Amino acid sequence: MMIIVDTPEPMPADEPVVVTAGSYISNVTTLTERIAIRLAGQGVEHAVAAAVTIALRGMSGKSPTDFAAELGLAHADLRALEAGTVAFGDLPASLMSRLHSHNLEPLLLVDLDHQLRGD
Amino acid sequence: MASMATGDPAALFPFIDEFGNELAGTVRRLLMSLNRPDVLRKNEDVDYLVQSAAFVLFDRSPSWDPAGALPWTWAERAIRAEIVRWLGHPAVEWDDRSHGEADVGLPVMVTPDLVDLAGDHVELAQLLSALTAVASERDAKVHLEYQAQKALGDRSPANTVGEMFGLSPSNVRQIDRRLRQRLSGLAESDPSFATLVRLSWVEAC
Repeated sequence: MMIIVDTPEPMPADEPVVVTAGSYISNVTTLTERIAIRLAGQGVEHAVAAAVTIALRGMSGKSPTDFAAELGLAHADLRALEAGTVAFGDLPASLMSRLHSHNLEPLLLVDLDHQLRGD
Repeated sequence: MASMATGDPAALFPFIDEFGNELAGTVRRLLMSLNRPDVLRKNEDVDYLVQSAAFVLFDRSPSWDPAGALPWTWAERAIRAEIVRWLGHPAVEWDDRSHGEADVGLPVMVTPDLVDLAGDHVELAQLLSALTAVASERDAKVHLEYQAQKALGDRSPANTVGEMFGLSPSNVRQIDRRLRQRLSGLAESDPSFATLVRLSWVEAC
């Protein structure tokens, strides 16, 4: 199925998330949206939820096992989240609570989720 | 790159975090080479293209050889292509007036109506008459065109006229010099052509 959505517009990266001191600051919401669109193109059902989980793990710098443990999840549950089997609204609270602190814009992500799912 | 080669998109985040400045340098250089400083001035656009460059590397990461060039150097052509694709082609409105049958390949003759003008200008009539007396029709045209091009500021009139008549520039100069000498001689020997000496190029001979 060909998914047609608005390509994320470049957005200012003026509220940086510094993962490593002196590192490059990018707009992580845009990057997450772009990953979501790719996943949706591969047929992932809840692509935004999957991309958000992947993004938070990527920004944590932790291995999947360690990241799952930090969230209080089983490794298999984390894999399921990253595979897009869980809706954005049903993501674990321990994950959702990290959106703001990692500079991910929930409204933009919800909007993209609606677009991709044709809501 | 090794993490990205496993196909894990989470690796994009630490990769951009660590190498984003290098990617940004590549993006900026490519934008300059594409003559798009306007995009360069928009940080959000540059950041977007940095991410695009990271995606290019992500997609190619299994093929990258750690013993070879740096990833952004190795994949520069692909990054450039991605930037060009994002920039798109400039759109211009079609204008029929710009696409007529005008032939701009040949120089434009500047002396087509001299015979008509001669009716109103005695000196010109005398010049044309004198040229008929001392030169062939072709040499007369070469001479007139050469003097006209010079007067109009052509920096290489011999080349221009040579192209018009199928002559070498030195041939053009030779014909012109020969005719000026003949006109000068005619002006001195024949009182009816005396006014020709008022022409600067005849006077100079």
